[in-house]
Amino acid sequence: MQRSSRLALFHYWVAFATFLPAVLLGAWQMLMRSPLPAPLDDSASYYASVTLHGTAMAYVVTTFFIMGFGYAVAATSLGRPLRGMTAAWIGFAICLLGTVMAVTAILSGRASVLYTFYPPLLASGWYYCGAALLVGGSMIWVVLMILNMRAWKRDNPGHPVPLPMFAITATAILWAWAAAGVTLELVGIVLPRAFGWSDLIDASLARTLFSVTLHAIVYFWLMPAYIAFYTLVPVAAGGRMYSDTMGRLAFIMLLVFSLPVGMHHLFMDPGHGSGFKFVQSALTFLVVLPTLLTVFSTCASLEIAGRIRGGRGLLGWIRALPWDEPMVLAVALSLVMLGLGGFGGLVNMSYAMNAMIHNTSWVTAHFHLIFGGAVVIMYFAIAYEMWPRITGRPLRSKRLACAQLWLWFWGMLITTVPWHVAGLMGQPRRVAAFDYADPLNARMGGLVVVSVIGGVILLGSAILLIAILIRSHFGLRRQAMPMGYAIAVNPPLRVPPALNGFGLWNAIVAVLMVLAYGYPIGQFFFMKQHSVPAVAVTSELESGGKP
Amino acid sequence: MVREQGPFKLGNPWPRIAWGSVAAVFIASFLIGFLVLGRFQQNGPTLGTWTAFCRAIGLSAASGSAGEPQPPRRTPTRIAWTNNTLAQIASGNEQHGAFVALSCTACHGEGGVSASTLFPTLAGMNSAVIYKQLDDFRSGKRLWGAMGAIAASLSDQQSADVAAYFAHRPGGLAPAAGEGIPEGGRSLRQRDPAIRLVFAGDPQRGIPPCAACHGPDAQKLGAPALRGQHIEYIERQLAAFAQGMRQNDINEQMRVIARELKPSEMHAVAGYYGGAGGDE
Amino acid sequence: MAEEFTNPLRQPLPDGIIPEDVVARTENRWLMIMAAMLLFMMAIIVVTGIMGAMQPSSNVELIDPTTLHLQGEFVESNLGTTAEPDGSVTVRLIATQYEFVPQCVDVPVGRAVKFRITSADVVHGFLLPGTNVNTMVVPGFVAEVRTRFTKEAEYAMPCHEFCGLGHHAMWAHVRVVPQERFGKPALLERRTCATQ
Repeated sequence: MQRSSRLALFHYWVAFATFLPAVLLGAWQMLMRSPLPAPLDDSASYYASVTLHGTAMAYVVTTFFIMGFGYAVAATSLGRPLRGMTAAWIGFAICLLGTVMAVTAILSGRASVLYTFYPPLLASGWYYCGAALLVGGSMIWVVLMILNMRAWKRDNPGHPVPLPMFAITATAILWAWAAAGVTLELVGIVLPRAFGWSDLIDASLARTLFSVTLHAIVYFWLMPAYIAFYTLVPVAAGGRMYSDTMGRLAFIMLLVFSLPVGMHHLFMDPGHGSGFKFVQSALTFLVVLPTLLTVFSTCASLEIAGRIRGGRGLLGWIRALPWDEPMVLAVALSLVMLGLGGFGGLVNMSYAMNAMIHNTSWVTAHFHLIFGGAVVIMYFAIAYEMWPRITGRPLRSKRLACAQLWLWFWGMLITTVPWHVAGLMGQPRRVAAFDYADPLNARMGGLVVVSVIGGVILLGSAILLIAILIRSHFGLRRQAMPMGYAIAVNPPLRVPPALNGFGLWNAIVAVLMVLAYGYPIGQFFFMKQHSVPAVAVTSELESGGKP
Repeated sequence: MVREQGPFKLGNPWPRIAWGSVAAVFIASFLIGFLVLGRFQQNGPTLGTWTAFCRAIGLSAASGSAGEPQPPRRTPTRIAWTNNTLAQIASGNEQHGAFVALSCTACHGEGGVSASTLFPTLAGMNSAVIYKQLDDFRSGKRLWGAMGAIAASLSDQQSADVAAYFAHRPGGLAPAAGEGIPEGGRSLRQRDPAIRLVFAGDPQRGIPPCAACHGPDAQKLGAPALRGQHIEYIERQLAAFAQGMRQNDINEQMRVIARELKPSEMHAVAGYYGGAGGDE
Repeated sequence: MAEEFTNPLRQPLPDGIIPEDVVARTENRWLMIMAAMLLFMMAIIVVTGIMGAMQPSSNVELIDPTTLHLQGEFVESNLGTTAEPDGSVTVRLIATQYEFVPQCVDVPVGRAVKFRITSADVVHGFLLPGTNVNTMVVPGFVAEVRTRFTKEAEYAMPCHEFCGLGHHAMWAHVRVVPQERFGKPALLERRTCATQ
């Protein structure tokens, strides 16, 4: 466990070291958009900050955290050491190099295109290179997850792969499929133009390719939180996992149905007809199912734990749960935010209802609540669970950890609820400054100020998180208990091959992607000329042919 | 069991159910999306099945608006920023341009640094801008005194050459990139109205920050560099755009903005750019 | 005082405290209920799509962004509000860095309105808050949005897609006016607020 625990720890360090500055930027951005005066009041800095905050949170923090989590899971759930350490470190180095490149480019002010790139806007080629390296380096992690699972299966024929490993491998496979979109966009369209090898940019094709990644990536982020729901929460609560089979099924459904649905980010795009917009909307409904399954299973597992601890009556088991355990508190808070954010998601994907809120602050509020809230709070809980076991130093104070989680929860609600309302009122996204003298904006001013307060609370919570982790790092060393994962109420002796491997599901994904995306992507290769000139986002980027 | 575990072995329940449900969802949503929903349009008649399919898959457009009768066409310029045009501009030869420019210096000053507020400084002006303005004078889309005849005497290549020449002359307009950011930042809360307009614009009136197109923030293709230009010249052009006397801006970009500016504001932003261009 | 580790291997429960078939039955029942709920939501979407024609845009129409001002539908003399022979109204706009052209248009209340908009440079977007008018404007394509305004109002219309460093200043106005004030423009007349 020693060598791979260092590997996981390095990944977590990078993730959380990036996290705190990114939260600080986020809080500053909230202040900038509000009627209140802000330091460094500069719109160009705002756009660079949004790019940095988005890149850090969406690409860096998540990828590093999930890779570290994956290595830790592989090393502890299979009962044998992780294989491929050298490759893993190489992958880490590549990802880190990519991160440094991208961050440097953004800080130089030459990459203010936001983490969604927005072609035909063009940033410094180094930004795109950095992003491509980060994504590419993580593919080494993907391969290692698959290889480790395969090797275990070969050495344990007929036995079910432990659920944590099964699930993290599903996550890895999902990421490989998802990353194909942004990789093709970067390598095929944006980078060639950034380095002057091509003249024009096919903006609509680039957007469509990116949409492949855009929704699936949120499930890449989500699955580790669900892994915690299934395999870590029951242990912390003192009970058992309700159903191993349903867990496998949920992760499989997440893998299959989070991919052919990205076009619901393109509902308002003029480059596509409504037919495939509807098909992908229908498929998006399917991806809600595994979340609902997971919620049920998790609540059932918690109920088992509660009743063992003496809870009686319809809801009495809730009070009986060990609420001083960070993992238990985190899952409850996460489920609340998942419910609220999920409702918002249902609106977003509902085809025509999307027109009410597309590209308004509602969307930003939605993904902050569901990702920044429900998912990231589980990342905190996972960190509280795994960090002590890796370092051999238990958390100094579980109460402080719980306080940090409560702060994050309330901060997130206070930030995002008014934000949702402002979105319904029509507040646009990615705006550096609103003229609050305008009557339309004046009505929203109060809401934005409340969000600022939420942002400050979130910043406090993030600082507390880092402080807790650092403090624990220097705490007393104890005999580290090995990582333990939940055992199901009915531990499976055998599972059907379909629930123990991914051959069938990869085949279904491939077919679904061709069916759902084949025409929407393919049409651009037969359409008449529709590529457009690139537009540099700042003046320092003028290149080749431009006077 | 090493027996059929392949993904396509429909004898086994899992592949059968999986493929079956996926097929059912896809087929049902395909039929509904393309053949049912696609037939209903807002403010329009219900479409036949084939038309609905073509519309929903994106093979045909919704309306024939493009073919409607139009009022007499008014175009601002002959120039479009196509690859051909950009290639022509890039092919400009500075040495040839120096020769052509000998006759420009009488009004536009030695090396393109104009001493009179009647004539703009050309030194450091973007070559695309010079090229386009010359063509606009040639075609009569922009009218000013003798410039029409002067431009008519130049060929396209000579225009490109002289544009390249002036673009590289020092001592005139400051380069667009990066400098001159005000201390207070680009902010709507900026007190000085000139700096506020230049760097933050006015969202209520739809006035974008000048700096986002004219530098120092970004350089829009066809937007002239302004830092170091004669104050009166800038002010005069803004007034000309506002009053419709100058109409050669593509897609009315400058006319729309200039109409919203008050004369005092035109004076202020002209003073900002025409002065040192902002001290930091 | 540091807390001890929880012993994760302390599992006080024997296997099978809930029989496997009970677990499977409850999970399946939940799955069925949830699937039914989602199916119901989907049915609502389909029904509203049929009855109210509430759908996202379906108009794939190509156009060259570099020559908008030279020929075709979006030359500057053709922008603005047009009254169609059938009583509906078409509004043509260009989105460019960093303004909408024209910046202010009038439309009549209660009549069918069609917005046609394209971009001269990068991806923009626009929305009228509280209405179904919301679309991306991608260069190379014409975006079309159809609606019917039911009440008089003045809308501030932002660009809602990041389009560069001046994005926050890109706002236009749409005024929904009574039909009498809108009147009966000639077929070739193109109106903006300024030409009223």
